[in-house]
Amino acid sequence: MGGRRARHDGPAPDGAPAALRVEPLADRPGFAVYGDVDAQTRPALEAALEATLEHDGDVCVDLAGVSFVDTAGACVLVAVGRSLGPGRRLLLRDPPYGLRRVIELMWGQPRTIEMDAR
Amino acid sequence: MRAAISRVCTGEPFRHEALLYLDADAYARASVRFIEAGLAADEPVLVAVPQSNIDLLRDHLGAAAGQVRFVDMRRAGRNPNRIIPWVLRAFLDEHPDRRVRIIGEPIWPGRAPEEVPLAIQHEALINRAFAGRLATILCPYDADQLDASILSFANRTHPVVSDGEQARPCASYTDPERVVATFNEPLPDRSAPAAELVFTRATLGELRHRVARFASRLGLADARAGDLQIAVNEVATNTVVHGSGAGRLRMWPEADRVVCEIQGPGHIADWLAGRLVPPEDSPRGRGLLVANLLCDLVETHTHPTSTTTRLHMRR
Repeated sequence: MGGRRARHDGPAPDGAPAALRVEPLADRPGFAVYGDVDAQTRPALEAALEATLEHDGDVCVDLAGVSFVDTAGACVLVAVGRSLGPGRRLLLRDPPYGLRRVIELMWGQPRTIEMDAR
Repeated sequence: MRAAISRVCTGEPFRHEALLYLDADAYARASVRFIEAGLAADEPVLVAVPQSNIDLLRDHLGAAAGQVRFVDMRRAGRNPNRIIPWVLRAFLDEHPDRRVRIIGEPIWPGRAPEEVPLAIQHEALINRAFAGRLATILCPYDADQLDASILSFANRTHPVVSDGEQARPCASYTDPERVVATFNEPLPDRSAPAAELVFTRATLGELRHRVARFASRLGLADARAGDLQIAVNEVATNTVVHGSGAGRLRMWPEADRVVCEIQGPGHIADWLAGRLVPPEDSPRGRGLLVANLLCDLVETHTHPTSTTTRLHMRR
């Protein structure tokens, strides 16, 4: 299992391997991600999100095992949040600094995304 | 004066005018007249100038200042590449169906020499970024204090020039791309870098790691270091995604800042890249935009086979 990192406002602390691991959540629709999301690994995130869209209700992405998400990755998450349809939301659990920063800069506070800083 | 402007600009909804002023009185007189004409026409007014000039204009405007949006250009426009998307365009987009009026002063006496060419490129690109938009932008230049070469570029980047009393079409107005190209030169030589790394798309994680370590060793605050890491990663990603193969990162510590250079294959064909906000759902076109917002200066030299970008982050 990928370890949980203590969150702080700053850079991703270490260089994660250039692979992304995705595991379904046991208790709700969604998945946990381990690794960094960048140009190399983004397709794995997109595939996992696509598979999750078939469920009903809110979708949860646990990002505690992610230290960095680039701007294109943030864009994918925002677009998925929008595509969920009325009444459904994308819940981002424990997003890293870079993701929170870029979403706030580019999209403000999207209605269809909830970020849980925990 | 207004009659003269509308005459020289007939048919063009966007007006971009330089005001060459000689002293604070002339600055205040022309600016207040411009602002009051906007307020009288019920146009939203933004004044983005250095704080000392904000204070001057507030004094002259009195109660009318309450109807004007003020932005300190020394802060908001510290990185000139940031002004089009995050200052001007943001204000226009707040008022999509109305003519707006803006005073924008991106070049002031004492502006750092390495920032001036970028501010001139910015002035040229305004003409492209807002062509057809319902806006009037007046750009004051201190004709007494600024170098003659800066003033000559004010004449090349503005279709209309005024001395505060009389506006005239500018005969030396130059195609924006030519002005931008004038400053698209190899970036100045620097000493040997304190850190260097060759990267590919598969090793962007290592690149981020190196930037974080470098920033923390130099004592950058966590949020600044995090912002630098975002910006370097975005520019590096453009290098290895749009281009191909490998890029090179070099980093220098300086007394008041950290400088990171990303060099690699690929060509920036459109200088508005990083200054236009893409449609909400577009997956691309945000990397350079974010870097421009986060960094204090973004220097670029691009040609068909290679692009070099230097990101400055103040401590």
